Amino acid sequence: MSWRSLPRRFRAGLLGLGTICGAVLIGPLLLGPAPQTDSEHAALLPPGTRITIVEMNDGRHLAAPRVLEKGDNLILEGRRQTTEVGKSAVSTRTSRRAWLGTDRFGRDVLHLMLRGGRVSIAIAGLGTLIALLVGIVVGLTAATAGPLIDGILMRTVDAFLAFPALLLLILAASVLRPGPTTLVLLLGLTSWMGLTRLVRGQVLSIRERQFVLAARVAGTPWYRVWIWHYLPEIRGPVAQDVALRLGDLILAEATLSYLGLGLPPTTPTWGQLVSEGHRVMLDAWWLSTLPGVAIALLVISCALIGDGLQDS
Amino acid sequence: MTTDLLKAEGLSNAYVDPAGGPDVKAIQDISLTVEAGRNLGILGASGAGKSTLMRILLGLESPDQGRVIFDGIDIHQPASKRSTPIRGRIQVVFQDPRNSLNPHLSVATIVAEPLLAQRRTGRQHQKQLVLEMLDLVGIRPEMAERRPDALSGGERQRVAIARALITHPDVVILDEPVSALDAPVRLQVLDLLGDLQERLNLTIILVSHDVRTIAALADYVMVLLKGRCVEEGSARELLEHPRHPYTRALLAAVPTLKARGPDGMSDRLDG
Ligand SMILES: Nc1ncnc2c1ncn2[C@@H]1O[C@H](COP(=O)(O)OP(=O)(O)OP(=O)(O)O)[C@@H](O)[C@H]1O
Ligand SMILES: [Mg+2]
Repeated sequence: MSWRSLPRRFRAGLLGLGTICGAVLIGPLLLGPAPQTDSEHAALLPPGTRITIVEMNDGRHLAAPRVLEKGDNLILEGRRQTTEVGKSAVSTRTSRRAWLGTDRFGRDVLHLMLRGGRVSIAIAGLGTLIALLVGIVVGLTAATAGPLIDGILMRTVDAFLAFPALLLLILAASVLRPGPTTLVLLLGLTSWMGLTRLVRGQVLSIRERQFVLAARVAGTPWYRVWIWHYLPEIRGPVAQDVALRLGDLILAEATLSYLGLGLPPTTPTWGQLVSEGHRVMLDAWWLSTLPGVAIALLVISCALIGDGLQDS
Repeated sequence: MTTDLLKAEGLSNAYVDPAGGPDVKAIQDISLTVEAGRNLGILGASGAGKSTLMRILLGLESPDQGRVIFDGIDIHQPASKRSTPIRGRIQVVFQDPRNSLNPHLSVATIVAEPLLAQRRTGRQHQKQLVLEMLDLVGIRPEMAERRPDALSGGERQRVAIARALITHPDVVILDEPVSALDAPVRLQVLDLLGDLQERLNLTIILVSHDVRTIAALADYVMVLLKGRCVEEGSARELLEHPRHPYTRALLAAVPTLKARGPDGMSDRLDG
């Protein structure tokens, strides 16, 4: 199967997802450590601003978009305040451009987004993986282990589905105040139901196919029937559902972070950046908008992949 | 001397009508005895209960009443209660090789699957056995790595036959083994089955609605009508002197027919 023969939407989605994942993976390596612009004078600077970083003899850093010389002093001019320091106290001066602007603390938004994106995507990706594993195992078990177990499992699915997933998630997160592991588990365990139903339905439809019956007659053990006969048949629809699920979980993680129920703010995820920026929306549009756009692009890419898989 | 290989006693099975009507009595009080080396043909029109009977004989479904004894073992007993496994000793070839071969596996893997289930032979030896079996059914070794969709209908059915025979089963159940194939290919596959049956010492249970297919392979015949056995007897006698009007009607549809004899079968099957 060549790249050209794939549906267009699938290609577009894969390109989008690949670009974003590639950027957050490789970007921080290429850019090196974040510039030390965290200084009040450098707060809330728009994208593209050049920032001068002033290193003092005592090791402290100051940073500001405008640095003027006035006699023996340097004047650091920020958006909100101005400071003078003696030239003798300064050891070096360097300058960096903040391509995507800075946040309330003067931190470089490009770096924040690349690092935050890593966390957001990793959390959502691992959550999807858990949903996938649980969905496949429970769905296959329900379809093959007889009516009693099927009934119990599917009633459990119904019970989970009776609550809106996001509400369940918010409730659990506000009680548990999750760290990364708990958050991944929470996301995975609130989103396996759709996959379970999908897998069960698909397997029920191939369970009576003649090659499966032949395997049963020959006494092929159940795990080989799963791996050889069921999984290859269901991988298309499952891949489609997984792509959509990944988009869902990116959004869910962002929502939790936005509400302050996500990870602690040491490494701000995209949702946290949006939430942080929305307080200063009028002053600094880029702060909410850029991570918001990143989230949207990622979710749309996933949807395109899912759609494209359905077409093919 | 003959020995009873497989014995079915008083099999009945009914399905609940999904539309809410009375239960469908798919088969009623069917008994049969299969002797080693004597092929049984089960003849009946669509809906007669052939597939139901076959599924029960294969252990894929439990009957409402009756039991199936194979080599002294009740095959519907849970496997844990059986002293010896029967896996691989009863095998099956289905009607449509498009559905009966997993499209994702190679021919070699498909044929090896029942061997793997037996967990008796080493990998290297398995490969050897698979190639020998493919050769026996007339599949060239270079086809072994192909997927089923790169094979013709006749070749696929040969692969399905190889998969059934790889474990050297005592009984092979064939469900309409040639009705999905084109006429010339039909003859080849029937010839192959007859040939293999003698070479490998098989006993065949053949299920078909087609009198000619039955005549080609069966030594004795059972006629099913609406789930009941209406007539049974040796193939020669039953096909030449049918007693039941239903059998006569089935035979009347096929003008030139003789029962299985020593004189080859191809010339009898033309048309
Ligand atoms: N799973 C099922 N549920 C309900 N009814 C069934 C089921 N399987 C078979 N039947 C009914 O049982 C009867 C016998 O079916 P069976 O498939 O055994 O016939 P058959 O002789 O194999 O027919 P054909 O030649 O068309 O395959 C039919 O009336 C059929 O509608
Ligand atoms: Mg049938």
